Amino acid sequence: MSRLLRPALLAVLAVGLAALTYPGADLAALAVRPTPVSVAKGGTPAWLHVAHPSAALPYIADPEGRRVILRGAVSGGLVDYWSGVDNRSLYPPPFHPIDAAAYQGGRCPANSAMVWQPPLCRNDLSEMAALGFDVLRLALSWSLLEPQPGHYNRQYLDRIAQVVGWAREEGIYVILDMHENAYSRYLPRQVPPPLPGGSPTSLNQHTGAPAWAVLSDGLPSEVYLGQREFNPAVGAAFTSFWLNARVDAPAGESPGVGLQDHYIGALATLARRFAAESAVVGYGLFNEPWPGFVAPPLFEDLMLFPFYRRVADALTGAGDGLGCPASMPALPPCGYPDVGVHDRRHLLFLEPDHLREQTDLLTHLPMTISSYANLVYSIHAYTHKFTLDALAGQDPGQAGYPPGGFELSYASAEKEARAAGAALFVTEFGNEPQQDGLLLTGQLREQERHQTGATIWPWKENCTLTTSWGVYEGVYSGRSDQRCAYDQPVPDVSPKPENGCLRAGRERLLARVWPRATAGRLESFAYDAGTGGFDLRASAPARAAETIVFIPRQVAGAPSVAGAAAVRATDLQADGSRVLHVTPLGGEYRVTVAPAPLALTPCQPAIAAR
Amino acid sequence: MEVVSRTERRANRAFALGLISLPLGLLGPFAVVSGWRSLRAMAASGGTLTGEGRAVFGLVAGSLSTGFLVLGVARFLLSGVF
Repeated sequence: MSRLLRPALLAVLAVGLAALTYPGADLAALAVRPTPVSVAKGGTPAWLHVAHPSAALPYIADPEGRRVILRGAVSGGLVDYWSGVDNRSLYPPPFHPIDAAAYQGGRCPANSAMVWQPPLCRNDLSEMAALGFDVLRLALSWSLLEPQPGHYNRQYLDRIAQVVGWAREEGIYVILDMHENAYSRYLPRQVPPPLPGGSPTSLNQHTGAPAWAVLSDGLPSEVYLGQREFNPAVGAAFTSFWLNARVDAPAGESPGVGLQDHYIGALATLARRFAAESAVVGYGLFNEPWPGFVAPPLFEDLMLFPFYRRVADALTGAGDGLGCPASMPALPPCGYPDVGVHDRRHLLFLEPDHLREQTDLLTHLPMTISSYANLVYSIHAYTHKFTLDALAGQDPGQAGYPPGGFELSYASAEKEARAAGAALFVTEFGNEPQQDGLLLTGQLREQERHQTGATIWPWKENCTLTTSWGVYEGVYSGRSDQRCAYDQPVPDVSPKPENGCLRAGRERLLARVWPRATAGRLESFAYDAGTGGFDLRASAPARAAETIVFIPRQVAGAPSVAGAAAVRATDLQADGSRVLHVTPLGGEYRVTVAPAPLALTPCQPAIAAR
Repeated sequence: MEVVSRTERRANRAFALGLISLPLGLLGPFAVVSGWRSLRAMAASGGTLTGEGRAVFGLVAGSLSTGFLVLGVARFLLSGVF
């Protein structure tokens, strides 16, 4: 008997272990079948969804089924950044007020070079609209949403709602982005001397988890190779999160006691608050997910994508995966209980492994993630900025990687998105303004070729070690030394304006003509920032909905339509921009805007505070 | 005469390969081959070789890993990513 019992027990063990690793993850993915969502009608602005054409890449669509391309920027104004001048100060409170009252009536709190990014104020939304932007990726911090375990912060929700309200007034959609960089700014800071090869951690660009959610197993917090994520404490904290390690506190309002349970609770709180808000286009579930100590492709296949499936289960009631209870260790085949939000109208933006920024290629095995149909696969496109060639110190103009240049990331991302049953979007791209001629131009060209929307990182930035990346100049505009106060030999703590001038080069490149909504088939479109000329080719059956082409104030050329379409109306907006309504007549058509000198905005420096 | 039994050497290998093959499917076929050969060697040894449990574990885990490796590769190819 014992001769048979032992092999039988070990066979059961083998099957059990298989269920918890790749075979189990594969089975769970195979069981997922995307189910169409009913298209939400109405809404101001209109509700968006993901359309799933047969044998083609899904795309973001409006209630009339038109392809919608969203373009805008990422703001870090609501992020819980570290601030100060003393690097020994571990946990300063948030620099920018969280209370919405501080921003009412057009007021904007004083800015400072002691914090990386400026506050987000009412004028910012008007300034975005003046560039034609129609989406804001609003970076948020879990540390402000859930400062104490199980207690979600209504004041922060009110502040988010304030920005969403401003965006709605300007006709701008908002992606509520659960932002994170190197897990948290609440890491223990290792004082010198560090271990061999390490250097002390600078917490000024760390964001994300609250202090109580940093479970770093006592590992030292110090940086290797100058990369903030190459930090033992960061690796341990991420690994704890992906495993849903237990928090030593009551669940409170959270659906469970694990790290992921609390995080899902934070997302559910957002989703409840904005359930009826169509200006919120959706939720970014996790910014730049770092694998911790688990290498790709295991990280995405066994941890990250199952986590996304659980979030979709919780928020939408998708019911995928095994019916595991909350608070369990995060096992790949496990689904998640429906937390009662039943949000079926918002898009879920899913980012792959952070390491994809280095490869411009997939770092996982393609698999279906969730049966919820409104999924958007969101990449960060930093070709020649953070890709392997840049890490090797190659000149972007003569880089040996990636093969195919900017095209590789987008071509691969289309296939990765299609395998996941998701639309494609670029949640971040950007660079120093000196590199715009090559990098920003290259990214914008690929976004047009692949007909994908994008948000540039960042909207505004105060200061940095090199040159601030913002669409606007930072607080030290025109100076060669743009370091933040905490990196200055003699820290500058004086009040600062919100930003410097709008960068003319950025206005030229980013205030573009583009089809905001296209009926039928969009063949191609291209805007030439050098001439102000635009060319779109499409085809649509007669009686299709109108194609909407946006022409920003800066572009003065005359529009015209040729082929099987006619201009029904050209709306002149209060800011001087034009919205072209093109009615398809059945067949191929072309919309052009003639080249003309651009009308760029003269510099209007901001004041220190209002 | 007392029969002295010892562990069949491939049984341990099958166990290790089977265990590692669960997250790394590429080792699955090697676990299957090791487990199968180990069981055959045990059957022919007249009871002098043991380690059935470890060999069975390797065979089962390796079979599952191999099956899902094939499935994963097929899914990978059909997805059109490459």
